[in-house]
Amino acid sequence: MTVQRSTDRFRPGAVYLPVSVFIAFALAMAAAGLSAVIFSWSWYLPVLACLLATTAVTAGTRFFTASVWIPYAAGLLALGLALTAAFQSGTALLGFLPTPGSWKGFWGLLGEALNTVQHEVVPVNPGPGITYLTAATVGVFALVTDWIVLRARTPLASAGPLLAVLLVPAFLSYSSVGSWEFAGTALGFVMILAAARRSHRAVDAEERRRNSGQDQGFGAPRGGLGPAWVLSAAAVILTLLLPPFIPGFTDGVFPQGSRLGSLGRASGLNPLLSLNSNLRQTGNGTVISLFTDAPGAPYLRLTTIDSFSGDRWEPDNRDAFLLSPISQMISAGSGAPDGDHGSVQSVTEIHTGDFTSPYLLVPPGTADVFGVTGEWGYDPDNLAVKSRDTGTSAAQNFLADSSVPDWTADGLRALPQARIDVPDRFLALPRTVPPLVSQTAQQLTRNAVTPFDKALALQDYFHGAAFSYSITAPAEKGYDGTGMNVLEQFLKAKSGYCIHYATAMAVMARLAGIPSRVAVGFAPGHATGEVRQGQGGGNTMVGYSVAAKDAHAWPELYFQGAGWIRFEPTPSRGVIPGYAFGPTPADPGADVPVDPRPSVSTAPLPAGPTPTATPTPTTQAAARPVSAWEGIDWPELGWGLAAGVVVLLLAAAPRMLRSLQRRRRLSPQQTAAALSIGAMEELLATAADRGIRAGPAETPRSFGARLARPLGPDGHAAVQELVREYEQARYGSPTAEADPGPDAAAATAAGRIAAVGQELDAGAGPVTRARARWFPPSLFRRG
Amino acid sequence: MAEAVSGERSREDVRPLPSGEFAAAAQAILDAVNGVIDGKQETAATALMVLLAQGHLLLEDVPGVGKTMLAKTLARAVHGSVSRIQFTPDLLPSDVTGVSMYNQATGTFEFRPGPVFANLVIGDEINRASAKTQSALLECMEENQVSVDGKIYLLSAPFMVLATQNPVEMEGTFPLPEAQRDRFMARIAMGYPDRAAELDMLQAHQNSSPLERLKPVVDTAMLRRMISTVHAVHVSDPVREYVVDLGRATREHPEITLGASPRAMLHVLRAAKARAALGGQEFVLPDDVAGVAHSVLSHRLMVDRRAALNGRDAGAILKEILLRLPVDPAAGRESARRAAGVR
Repeated sequence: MTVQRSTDRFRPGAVYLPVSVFIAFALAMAAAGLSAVIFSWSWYLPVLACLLATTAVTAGTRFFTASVWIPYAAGLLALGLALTAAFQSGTALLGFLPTPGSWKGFWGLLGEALNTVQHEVVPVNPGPGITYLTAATVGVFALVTDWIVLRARTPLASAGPLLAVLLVPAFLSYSSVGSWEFAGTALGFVMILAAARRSHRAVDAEERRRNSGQDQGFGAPRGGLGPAWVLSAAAVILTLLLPPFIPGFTDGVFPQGSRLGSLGRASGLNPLLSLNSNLRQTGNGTVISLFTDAPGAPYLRLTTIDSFSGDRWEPDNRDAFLLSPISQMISAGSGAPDGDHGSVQSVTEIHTGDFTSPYLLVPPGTADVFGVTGEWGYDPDNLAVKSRDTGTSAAQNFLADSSVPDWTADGLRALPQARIDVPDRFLALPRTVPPLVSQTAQQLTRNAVTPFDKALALQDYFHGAAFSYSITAPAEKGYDGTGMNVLEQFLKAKSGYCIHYATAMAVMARLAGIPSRVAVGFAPGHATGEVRQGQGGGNTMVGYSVAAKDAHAWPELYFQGAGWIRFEPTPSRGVIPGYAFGPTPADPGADVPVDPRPSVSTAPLPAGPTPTATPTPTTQAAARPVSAWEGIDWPELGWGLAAGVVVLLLAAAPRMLRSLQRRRRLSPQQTAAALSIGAMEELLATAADRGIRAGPAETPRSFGARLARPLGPDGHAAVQELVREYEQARYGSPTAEADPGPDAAAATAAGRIAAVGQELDAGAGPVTRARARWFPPSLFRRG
Repeated sequence: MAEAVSGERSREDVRPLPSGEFAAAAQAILDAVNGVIDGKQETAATALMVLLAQGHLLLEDVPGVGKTMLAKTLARAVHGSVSRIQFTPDLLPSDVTGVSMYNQATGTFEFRPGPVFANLVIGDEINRASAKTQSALLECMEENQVSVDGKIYLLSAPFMVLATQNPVEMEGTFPLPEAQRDRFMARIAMGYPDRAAELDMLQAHQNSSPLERLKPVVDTAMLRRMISTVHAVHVSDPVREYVVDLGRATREHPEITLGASPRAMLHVLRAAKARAALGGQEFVLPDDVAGVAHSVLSHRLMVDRRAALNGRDAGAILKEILLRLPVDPAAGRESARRAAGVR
């Protein structure tokens, strides 16, 4: 029994310093992992600066004070000053002392960050808002981790904040966390564990020295990191091994761009990409309900996308143009309604339910919106209606007046081929267009004369039998993306969903010289059968419900003199407009479409599957009923289940380890004396699990008395017997008597401990009970 | 070589008692003492413990709280020889030990045993005697024998000194130095009785002392068997370690200038064995060690002057040490289980 004595003065600052260093390292590595979801690295420096300022001040303060809380207060202060200096130096005094203006600025940054998180597609641009949020979060995490490791003395739990940072890219980016970042974080975590162990030992030794006590005692912390090391090693190994197998890390369950809303479901239709997760919803949850007097179910449009940069296609950031309040909306329509052509007027009443987006869902050609709450503006370019404040489309209940020109194929074909007067960006193409794409586009449009015929040829190509609709089949890594490489992949696979079709047609239209953009919104939903009379003796309004899986994207092509015209290249989804109802290819698999046949339809736009006098313009595929099981992708479901099992196993690991430990301690394969000691050990652990710990100077008997005090007579007797047997085994004179039925003795001991555990549970709160069962403290901190 | 004289101890039965008989006898003694002295059960138990552990007891308190009464009661309850020495400044060592006198009739020197030759010796106000006389008694206590004129006379067994000391400073007294107090296994501060006990006492003692009606409840042979029962109490390694750690902790404590001596720790262990036996156990628990620590150690520890000025006393410091001293380092450890398993 040796007492470790240090001659020099005990300095908590020096003892805790390595832990702080490794916490900063691990968090810096974890934060670097965020580069998968934030563009470029310009955001990293401020984040790193704030992190280092926080940890350095926290660790440094420990050199001057033994107080527990002052270092944290100092660290928080440092974080605040660093954030001010980095993000609000303009409004701050001397560049770093926050003023009321700085607070307002922080508030604004937070709003900006939340806006980014809600509406932007990963990787997001490193704006000040998101950088500020990241820096503040990482800084606070540094303090929390420090507290977890050094004060709560549960170094293992420091994995929580680290994982919380790592999970963001893991869930949101299809490329997941970079291997280097992950390895760095894991290394930092292991170093934290090691350093924490060292520090705590030094502190314990100091404590013992101060108390002039000896080494360790009954129930004293014994540094039993055994299970902790096993657990952490298992966790690291599992994390290293699992990513290839867990769908969430690459594709499938957590596809790129999807994110969980406050209620755990994908919230909002983040243009284009979160659409994927909506599409994959197998349920029929109604998102939006509407009544309309239009002849068919209307499409609902959120916004359009016109910039195809190549890497990813982003919604147009046209906030600068959103100057017009919706009260000044004019019926710009899809281009000005031509005098030669009539237009279809309709009124639609829309209940958005819990659909959340900064854009308002309106039918195409909406000229006016009534009854919408909040401040909304409209974009004269594409007639998108967007919130001008922080309002969302959720729980809106409004009327939309829309007017859609009534085009026919002949009318479109007869348009004069004049100079195109739309901006060049609608013709801009990605830097590199894969040859397959340009060749196909050229081949398809070779024989067409008018732009409209070219467009029709493109649409018909996608409706060919070679193409099939699938939301999962080609969902390989990154296929959820919309980049040019995906486009090529799509043309090879000939299988995909609306985004692939819409963007492919848009790009190929540009290749053919037709300005194009992609609209995002919802395809017509299903008629609910409800009918009501419009207000003021208006027309009969038919009820429809639109579900999340109706989320849709479609191309809009610009024809000089007609404006933006909708096409529907996606097989089995949406409704092909009457003017674009081209011929069904006669020979399946033909690469070159047959000559576009002029449509004779005069159906109003958009035509829906409603009983009208016009021919039903749906394709056969669209009419095909879809069975409930068809939407399920079995392999993905299998992976999901496997992932679920793994998560459950991980969650149950502490409980299982604890159970193994119990079985070992109460094993009948030992002498009676060893069993008695094992039983005492187990009793101590059972109590520790419920937060009752034996003090180092507490004798078994006094601990037993304390433990038994709140218990009933049975628990009392059980504790007394366990203590008595332990004392006999530990302090009594050795007896040579044979072990009397160790099986029975083990069972008795187990029964007693179970009785004590139950009685302790009865007196404990639900949190304590759950912790004792699922996260037993005795497993992580012994003694 | 001195010749051993005396000792009626022949081949009598000194086997340990069955636990039931031991408990009954112990209870009888305690009942007898408590019947005379009201409200001092703990003190009586400590006194009995010291008797069974073959130690000596120092009763220290202001006059009139029943120190002598306790000593006399205990002595009477045990059917042994009792003697009482009233210490005065002019008392000589031979007044304690006895003296060899010339017998004219036989023409030989005959040893006249002093009052120390009794099972229980009550030394009243021991601090009034001169240091020389004090040390004569202390020597007897330590050695359990008297040597006069080159002859060694064994004292009777059991032998126990119950010395009382008056802590009130008085002229012409020689308070026992700390080093001498070390010879006493335990010190008891009697303290005043509580109100109810004092009322009872006034009622019981108004005419005659109940002491006079007290009949001995055990004889010396029985007492020796009880002592041998205490001897047989098992002490395990962890408990021995705990005792050693306790002693070292007192020596290393910054507020204590003189810690517990090895002899003190031996006394602790013996007292703990007696306490364990009185508790009906066959082995010593750490609880027993902690339980006797205060009465066995507190009178031996010299508290640092500055700490004493701050109102710290040995009892409080000892209590702190016990609250922090780790118990049984191997408890619940793999090594303990292996040890238990291997046997």
